[in-house]
Formats: sequence, C-alpha cells, structure tokens
Amino acid sequence: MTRTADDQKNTRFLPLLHIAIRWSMTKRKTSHQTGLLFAALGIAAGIVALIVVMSVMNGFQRQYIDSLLETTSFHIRITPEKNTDLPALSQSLHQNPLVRSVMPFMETNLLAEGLGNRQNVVRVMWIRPQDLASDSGFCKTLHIPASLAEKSLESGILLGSEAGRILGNSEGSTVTLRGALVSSDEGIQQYEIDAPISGFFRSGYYELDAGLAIISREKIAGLSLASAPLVLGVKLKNPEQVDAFIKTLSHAEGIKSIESWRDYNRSFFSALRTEKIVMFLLVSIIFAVVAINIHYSMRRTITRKARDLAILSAFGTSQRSISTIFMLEGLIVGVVGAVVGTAVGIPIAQNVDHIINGAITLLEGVISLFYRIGIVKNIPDLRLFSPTVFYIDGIPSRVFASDIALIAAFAVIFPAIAVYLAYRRFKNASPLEVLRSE
Amino acid sequence: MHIGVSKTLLLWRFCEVNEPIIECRDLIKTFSSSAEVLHILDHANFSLEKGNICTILGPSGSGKSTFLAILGSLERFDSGTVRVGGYDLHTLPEKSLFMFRRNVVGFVFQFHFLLNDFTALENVALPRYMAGISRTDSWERATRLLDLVGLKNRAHHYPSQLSGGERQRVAIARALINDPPIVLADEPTGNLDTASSEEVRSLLQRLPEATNTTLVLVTHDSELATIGNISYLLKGGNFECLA
Repeated sequence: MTRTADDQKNTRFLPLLHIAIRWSMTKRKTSHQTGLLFAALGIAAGIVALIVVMSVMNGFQRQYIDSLLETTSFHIRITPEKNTDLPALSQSLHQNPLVRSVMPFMETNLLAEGLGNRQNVVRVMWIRPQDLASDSGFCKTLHIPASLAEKSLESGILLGSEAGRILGNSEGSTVTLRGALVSSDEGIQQYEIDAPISGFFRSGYYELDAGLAIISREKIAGLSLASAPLVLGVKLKNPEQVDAFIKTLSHAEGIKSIESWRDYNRSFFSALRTEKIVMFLLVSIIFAVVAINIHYSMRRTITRKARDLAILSAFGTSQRSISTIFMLEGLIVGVVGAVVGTAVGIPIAQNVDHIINGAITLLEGVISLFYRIGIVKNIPDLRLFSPTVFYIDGIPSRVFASDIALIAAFAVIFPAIAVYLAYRRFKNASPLEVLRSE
Repeated sequence: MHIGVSKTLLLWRFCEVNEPIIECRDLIKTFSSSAEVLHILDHANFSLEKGNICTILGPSGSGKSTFLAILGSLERFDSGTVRVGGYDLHTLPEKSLFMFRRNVVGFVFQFHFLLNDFTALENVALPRYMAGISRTDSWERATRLLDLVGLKNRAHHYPSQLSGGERQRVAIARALINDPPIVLADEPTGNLDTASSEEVRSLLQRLPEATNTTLVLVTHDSELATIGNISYLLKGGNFECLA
C-alpha cells in the first residue's frame, strides 16, 4: 500500500483526537478523569462568574449610556450654519427614515444659586416646551410625563432633584442662573436669570439629577444669549446606524458640523472600556487559577501516563503528535467547561435581578418564619438596593455575544496552554528509559 | 520491500535485494557512570539477510536488549555503522526517527506494553491510524492481524481482560500493523507461563512466512531459541555466530 503525504495530512488529526477523547472519557474511573471533571467544572464556574459580572456591568453601563443619549448627548448633534433656515432643516431631517426625533436646543453651563447663597454648576438645556412631545425618550428618561414637563417649562425651570437638594430649593422657589457670553464685538457680557422652579425630575442617574436643568428658550428672549447658536439634537431609530445616517447628510446644505454620540462621548466611553477591560482581567484570574490547577493535575497525569507515551513513541508517534494529544485533552476540558458555563451563565445573567429578588424573598420568608417562632426578634430589610441608600431599584443586565465569545475563547485557550506547558517537561524523556523502568 | 512513502523517507534509499536487511560494522556502545565506563558493544559486527529468524543469546547484561534498542532507533550508539532496512541510523535526524520506528521496525517487548485504556483492536490499530491511514483500513487490518494471532474474538476486550499470553499475542499483532520489514522481539516469552510461551513461540515461528518479515529475537528461553535459523551469541561486546 502506498501512503501519500496528503493522506497522512488529512487523517493526522483524527487519531490524535481519538486518543485524547478516550483518555479523557475512558469508561474506567480514574483520578485523571476526576481531575479533568473538576477542571471543567472550575472553568464552567469561572465562565458563569465572568458572564454574570460582565453582563451586570454592561447593564449598568448601557443604562447610563442610554440615559445620556436620550437626554444630553443625543445620537447626532448637528450644528447648522449661521443663516440656515432651521425649521426647514429640521423638517428635512424628520423626513429621513432613520430618524426618530429632532430637537433644536441650546446648552450652557451656568452657576445656579439657590437658597442661602448655595451654589451648584448646572448644564442648562434651553428648549421649546412644545418640542418635548416629539421626543418621547427625553421625558421618559427623566421620569416625567411630556405634558407635565411642557406645562412646567411654560411656568419655570425643571431642575434635577439632586440639584434642588444641593441648592436647598423646593418647588415654587426661585433659582438664580448666572453666566457670561464672550464675543469679539462686545467682550464679556454677564447675564443673570431668575427662574421659578416649576418641577423636579429624578432620572435615577446622579450626574443628570445633580447637574441638569431644563428651561424654555422663550425665557432668554431679549437677552444677548438669544443670539447663541442652536444645535439640532437628532435621535435615530437605531443608534448603531449613525454612520449610515451621517452618510445621508453628505450633500445636505446648511450644516456646519455633525458629531455622533460616539465622538461626543469619546473620553467617557474610553473610560468605560478601560473599566470593563480591568474588570475582565480581574475576573479572568479565575481562569488563571483553574489553569494552574489543570497544569499541576496534568503534570501528575503525564507522569502516570509516561508509560503510554513511551509506547506511542516506540511505535512511531512523533513528539509533536503526543503533545497535540495533550493539547486536545486540554481543549476538550476547556470546550466542555465553556459549553456548560455558557449554558448556565447566560440564563443567570439575563435573569440576575429575578434570581436575586427570588433569593431575597425566600430568605425573607425563612426569617419571617423564624420571627413567628421567636428565633429572631425583628425582620431586617434585606432589599439589596434599599431606596433610602441606593439610587437604583434593580440590577440591570445586558448579555453581549462578543463578550461571551471572548470569555469562551479564554476558557478554551487557558487549559490548552496549561496542558502544553505541563507536557513540555516530558518532551525530552527517552521512551526506552521509561519502558525499562516499567 | 515495501515501505510507507513520506516526504522524508523518499529521500532515503530502500534496501536492495541482495543487501543485508540489517548490517552493523564496528558498533560501539558504552554506558558511562562516575565510577566506570562500561563497553556494552565493542566494535561489534552483525549482519542479517531478509526473511530470516535470528536469535540472539547471551548472558544477562551482555547488551542484547541494548542492541535491539539500537536497531529500533530507541537507543543511540557511540560510533560505527548501523544500517537497518537500508537506512543509516547514524545519519537519520532525531526528528525523523519516529518515521523509521513507524515504518521499518515493529517491537515486541518482554512486557506487553499495551495501552490500558484501549481495547485489543484499538491497541493493534492505533499505530497504523496514527501513521495517517484511514480508520476503516486500520481497523480492518488490525482485525485481520488479531485473526492471525488467534484473538479475533477478543478484539473488544481491554488488556486487563486478557491473559498474559493473549496480551503478548496482541502485542505481536500490533508490531505487524504497519507492515514492517523487521520485527524486533525482546524476551517475548520472559513473562509468560509454559502454555502461553508455547503459543507465542508457535506464532513467532510462523511470522516471517505469514507476514514477509525478518525477525530478530533476543531470548533466554532455550525452546524459543530453537525457532531461529541463525543464532548469535553476544559476549564481551561482540557477536559470535552459533549457527
């Protein structure tokens, strides 16, 4: 029979896999198998932990990003040319099928002064009250009905609840806003506006609630501020389509500049990304611990399997093939761990809030039973995020496929490397020496 | 002789018809320790034609097993020429030795050295399967060889479920799986009882004719030694032809 090099290449992998599977899953109960089982379970536990941690982190981040995009950032910020017909431009943007809403606004950072000369810097968005109705996401994020917000803006300023607390103001009291305009013709012009507080909003995000105020553009009529340029805040049906939308504006007239939400929040997003990478690396230490365990477990296994390896070598198996068998064994452990971990981790991550609430309810039930029996004297508040302490009322979670893929890849690669490093010690052992010692 | 073709092996020439299948000239092998240098093979010369059964006898520690390991490229030698199946073992690169072991020689050790996690059939088939031959072909040939050694009905048994003689017969079948031109057997009956030894002896005697191989046999077993048509005595580091 003639064996061609192609034949050998095509079938080389399968026998190695055959041996790796048989060694990993032999019917005979061995400590090696138990070691591999625990290694796979360790990886699965690591994956579950990573998926849940990353998903909760994504949930918090995405919720915050979404609230920013719905309020101060918008998906696209368009600065029109000076003499552009703003209503016409706004109308043409509205007709774009990708667009959800368009809101003209102006924003300034002002010093707010409340009761007892308490001060706080706030970002003031100057908008037309009637525009709120067309942007449902804006009021929804601030947790205030659009009709109420519209009415409130007609009579005064809408202030974040935390800002109101800092300034010591209550509804109906007046807040003084101070700012300055700089122009080449008239130099620095200071201005001051007294605005009655017509309502407070509480978005659930401290940065917005402590630093945002909304006021009707009509309040600046007659002030030099009225000549400041307006920005069109555009929201898309799908925020990921910003690039496609910007392309559609390439020939539009009257536009001075366009800024996507990614560019506008670049430094903030890069900080979030850094935070995520650091968290990922920290939680990945679980894999490193599992890999070290696998490494030492495989070193013991390889010492025990030295005889089998020597036999394979004596019958013409190359060192490379033998190391591949061990690598495959490591990969099998990693893949089994990854599949189990992903299958368990994703549902947990998607329902983490329900699971924790369920656990708390169960615990409360047990404690109330103890209370009735008289084992405990009072029932403690077990809520994870008590509204008196925390600003959130639940655990948000977002599972991203890209995160899962990265976590699974780590889980598969770590044990394979650990196993390979364990095998390296055996690489130069003489098969004859091993067989002689048997 | 017909040997599996590979990129590496193609570069080496095959044994010609009248050339000895094994030829050693001035072979030197020493083992050094801090106390002394032991000359196991001292300018040893050895030659064997194709199709023979050669038995190598000698006192314990005379270097019989070491010589067999050198022929099978499991052991390196200090100097001299060793040509096995047409290949000069001195010039074969370390990384290519596994190809030589896979295609040119088959081993039968004193202890069976079967893989405990695999069945008899798998133990026999794996060296062929690992050599890149398809699973179907490897398993078919392994079944035929198990039939040849009288163990077809034990194909799916694990080594722990076989007797000593059966394990050794599986080991013989495994040695033949890649159609090697040479089988090297080191005390193949050393661990067996009389009945099992007889089974193995009978099998080895039929081997060259049934499988077109050359058999080199190291043994202390006087019964087994009788199957050889050529006998050498290894003494004082050199070979002495007995018959």
